[in-house]
Amino acid sequence: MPCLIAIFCPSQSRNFIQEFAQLSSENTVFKLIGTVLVKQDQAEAKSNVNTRLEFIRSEMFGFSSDPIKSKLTNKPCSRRVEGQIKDIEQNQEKKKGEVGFYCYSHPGLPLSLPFPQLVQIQTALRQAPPASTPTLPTPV
Amino acid sequence: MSLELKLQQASTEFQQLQADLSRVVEARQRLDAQLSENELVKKVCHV
Repeated sequence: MPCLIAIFCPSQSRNFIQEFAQLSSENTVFKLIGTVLVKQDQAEAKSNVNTRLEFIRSEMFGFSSDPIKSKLTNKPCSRRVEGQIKDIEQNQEKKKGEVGFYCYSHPGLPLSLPFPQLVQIQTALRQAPPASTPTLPTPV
Repeated sequence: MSLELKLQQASTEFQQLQADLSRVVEARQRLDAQLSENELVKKVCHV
């Protein structure tokens, strides 16, 4: 009996996909768990594709792509990748403003600095011995 | 706290955020690749 040994790995090859498409009810699907090949129900193997799609989408967007399900759970979820990206971007903007404020308050620095220069300043500050660094007045 | 220290702290925090962002963007790209891969399997196999 022809069989297909499906090794589910992060990147499935095109060959695997084509083989998978050509499966008839005669075929037996095995999956590799550790070092053991386990017979797997073909319908189950195919439904796993949908399950994985659901999982990936929920990891990305925090809600299901299913229109009915997503109506129930379509809320921004900060734990999911998309939400995390938005959060970090917002925090970055805030922090950028803060860094800008300290540069602005520093009398010796030009008013607008591109970021690479900020890093240079930071490095210079870190390397400078504390004794030789004059204490500047705190911003008003 | 001196101005230098505050600037240093703020810019360190900013760099930390940049590192976080690149880590999350990487995760997002990995998921994106897996998503299109599984969509392809679904499409080709008429699951």
